Amino acid sequence: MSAATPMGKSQELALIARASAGDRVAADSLIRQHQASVYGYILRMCGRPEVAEDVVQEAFVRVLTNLDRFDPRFRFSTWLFTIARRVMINTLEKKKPSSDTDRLEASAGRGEAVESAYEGGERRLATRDALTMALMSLSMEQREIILLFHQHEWPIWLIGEHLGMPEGTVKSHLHRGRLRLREVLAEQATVRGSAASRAEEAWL
Amino acid sequence: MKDFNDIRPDGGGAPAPMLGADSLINRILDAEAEGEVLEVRELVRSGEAADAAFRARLDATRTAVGELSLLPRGPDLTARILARVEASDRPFVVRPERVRARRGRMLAACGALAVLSLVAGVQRLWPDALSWSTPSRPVTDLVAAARSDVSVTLDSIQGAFAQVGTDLSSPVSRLARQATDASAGRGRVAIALMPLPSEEMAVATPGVGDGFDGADVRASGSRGVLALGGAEVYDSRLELGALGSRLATDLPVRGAQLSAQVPGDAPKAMLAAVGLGPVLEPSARPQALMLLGENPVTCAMHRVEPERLTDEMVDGPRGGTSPRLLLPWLDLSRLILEADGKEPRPQ
Repeated sequence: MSAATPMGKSQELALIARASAGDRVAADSLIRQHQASVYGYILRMCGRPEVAEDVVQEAFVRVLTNLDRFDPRFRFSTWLFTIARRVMINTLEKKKPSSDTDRLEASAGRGEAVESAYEGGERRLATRDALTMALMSLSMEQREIILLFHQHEWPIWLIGEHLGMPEGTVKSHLHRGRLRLREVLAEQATVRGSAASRAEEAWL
Repeated sequence: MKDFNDIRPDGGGAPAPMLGADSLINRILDAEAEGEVLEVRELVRSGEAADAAFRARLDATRTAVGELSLLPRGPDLTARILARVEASDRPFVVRPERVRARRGRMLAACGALAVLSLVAGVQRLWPDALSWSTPSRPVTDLVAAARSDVSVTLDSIQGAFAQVGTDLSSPVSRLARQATDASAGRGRVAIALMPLPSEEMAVATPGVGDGFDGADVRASGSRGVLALGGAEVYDSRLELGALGSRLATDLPVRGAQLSAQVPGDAPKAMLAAVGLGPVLEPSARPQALMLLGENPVTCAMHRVEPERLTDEMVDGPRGGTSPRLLLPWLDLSRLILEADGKEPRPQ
């Protein structure tokens, strides 16, 4: 996924107008401008890359085929995220694991991936996976608010509008979520540390 | 160590809620997000003064949320998205066009619905008005009459034969006008007419009781015989007795009767006829077969191509008196159906 340089609001509105009139190049630019952020948002919300890909595609298709409904008073990304979130919720409802066993197997797989990445020396990757796992340990609201605030730098009032929550509630979720995230990451670091020690002992 | 409850985050003298270390960390991170550098500095200093481990906890929290700013890598979905948009119903259509298109589709759908309703109404009121296929020749009156009044039946048979063609209808048209049929109305009707067979051709009637054999029919010489009856078991004596004398005077062709036992999947009744005498070449083989169903629309008259018939199909088991003798007729009808391709079609 190619990184896009941020563009101003007027520039973005012009792009939307062109795409709405059927300009394929403008639509292409619009997708490139936002796909990384919406993919990151959805991936970290659901923790499943295949779902994130499907959701992002579907969200963009819906947006691009309904561009005439876009209200220029609002941010395009807000609209896109709202649609993507709705698509994700519907998709997850449909793809819900059929049993607790499935869920356990899925999370075990993620845990093994973290372990394996760490032992392979890819500390960065392990940290990223640990972050994903830590995010999944948060409640849906906490995770979403944390992501929108820290990953996408949305202000509290906008998050409140997006989720239909009072700002105080948003802040409350944000604060609890942050601390929980730190705690889970610290626990994971401890586990990884002991695993590394065990590996070193085994070599010695 | 100072208690966090002593820290007043606003740094001023105004009363403020007492904060714990984690609350202070949250406050710092919020202030950082809002770009309140001075406030952040003040709060950090306060926290450090209260707890030596504060800085470590703050850094751990910053690291945790700081990781979030790095977006995970994903595939470039641009081409796939655009392909899906292009393939969608109305890609990149602006609102007025979309409304116009929707309105057009609605109008088309309403129009189609109206036409279908009209067709259904007409079809219901005048069932034949919208028939695209060549209409079958209905012989309802024949089937109905055969169950009620043989005299009417005979008239109907004349009419039916008239439709077959001059060659065949001429001799048959002079059938007797009056007859009674004791077996009328007994379930399915089977009607068969054929000339008196040649000497080599055995004729037998099924369901005939003791004292009757095909020889009696043959003995009637040039007199044609018409047989009517129920399909299951045809009691030829009744019809022969009732009809034979009348027919003998009016039917110029030599004929013999044969009735049919009609299985469930066969036409519900059939009428077979052959011409003989001045109009058609003498033949012992049926030259026309009429299949009658309860539904008049399905009734059809077929000419039989003699070359399609085998002797066995026509003659049946020689000298038999069993219903099996009727099988040639059924086979004949099947043959015609097969020759036609599928369903019987009117000629």
